[in-house]
Amino acid sequence: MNCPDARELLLEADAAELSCMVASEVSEHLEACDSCRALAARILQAQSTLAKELAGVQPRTPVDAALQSATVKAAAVRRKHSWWAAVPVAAAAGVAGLLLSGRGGPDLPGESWQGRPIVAVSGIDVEAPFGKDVVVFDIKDRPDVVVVWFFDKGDD
Amino acid sequence: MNRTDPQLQEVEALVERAQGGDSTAFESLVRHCYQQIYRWAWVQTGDPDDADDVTQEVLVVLHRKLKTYTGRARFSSWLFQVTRNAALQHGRKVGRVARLKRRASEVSVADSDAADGITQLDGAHAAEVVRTLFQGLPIRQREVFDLADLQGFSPSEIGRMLGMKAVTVRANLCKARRALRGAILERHPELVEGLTE
Repeated sequence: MNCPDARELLLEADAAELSCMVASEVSEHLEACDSCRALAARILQAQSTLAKELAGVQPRTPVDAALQSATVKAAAVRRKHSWWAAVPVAAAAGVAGLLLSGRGGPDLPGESWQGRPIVAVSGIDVEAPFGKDVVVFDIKDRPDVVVVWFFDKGDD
Repeated sequence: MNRTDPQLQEVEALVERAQGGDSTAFESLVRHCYQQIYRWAWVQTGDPDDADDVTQEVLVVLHRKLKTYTGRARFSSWLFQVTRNAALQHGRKVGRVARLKRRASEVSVADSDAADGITQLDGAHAAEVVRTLFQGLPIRQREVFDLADLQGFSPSEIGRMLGMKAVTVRANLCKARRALRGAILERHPELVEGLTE
C-alpha cells in the first residue's frame, strides 16, 4: 500500500487500527511508514482532545437546583393530567344534562319552536395543552356542569 | 459505555429502588446520571443553554416515567432515548438549527481571526476548534461518533439506542470520522502540529 492510499484509509480507520493494535492493511503500512504513523498519531491526539473536551462539558445548573425544579415541574404535570382525566366525565355529564333538560325541539311535528340558548361561553379560565386551544361552556340551569372542549389550533 | 459491571449493577439497583418510590435512590440516580445526560444533550443540541433545558426536561420525564423502564435494555440506552426525544422536541420548539448555524459561524470567524495571528495553536484553542468542527457534523454523525469513538459503545449497542441497524451505525461512523478528520487535516493542518500531549 502506498502513502496516498493509506492516508485515504486513515480518515475512516478506528482507533485500534490507528494505534496498530489490530492487524490490518493500514496498521501494516503505519508500522513501515514514519510520516503516515505520525499523521495517525495526530489524528488520535485530535480525537483524544475532543474526548477530553466533551468529558469536561458541565451543566450550568447545579444538580440540586435541577432536581428541585424537576420535582416541582413533575408534580405540576401530574396535577394537570389528573385534571384532564375529569374532562371526559364533565363532557359526558354535560351531554346528559342537555338530553335530560328536554329542550331538543317542539312538542309536535311542524310546530314552530324557538328554543332559548342552553349553553354559553363560560368565564372559567382553563389552560390548554401545547398545540391545542380550549373553549369552556356553561350549561344554563346546571351550574354544577361545564363542558370543556379542546381542539387543535387552526381547526375551524 | 465504558463502565464496569459493578457500576452497572449499582445503577440498576438504584433504578429498581427509585421505581419502588425511594426518593433517596432517585436523587442518587439523578446525581449519577446528571453529567451524562447533559453531555448527550450537548451533543444533540450543540448549545450549552439548550443542553441545560433538555437536561431539565429529561429529569422531569425521569420523575414521571421511570416506572415505564422495564429493564429489557440497559438503563443507559433507555436514558439516552429519553434524552434524544427531549432534545428533538426542544429543537422543534426553539429552532435549534438556526441557533446552531449562527453560533458555528460566530466561532469560525473568531477562529480564522485567531489563526491569522498565531502559527502554533495553544491547547485550549485547539480544543475549541475540534469541538466546533464536531458541532458542525450532521446530528446523526455527531451522536454516532460520540457514542462509538468517544464513549466506547459498540455499533450494535448504538443501533439499539438509535433504532438503526449496526451496519448503518458503522456507515455513519465512517462518514463522521472522514468529515471530522478531513476537516482537521485540510482546514487546520496547523492544529495537528500544535497539539501537545
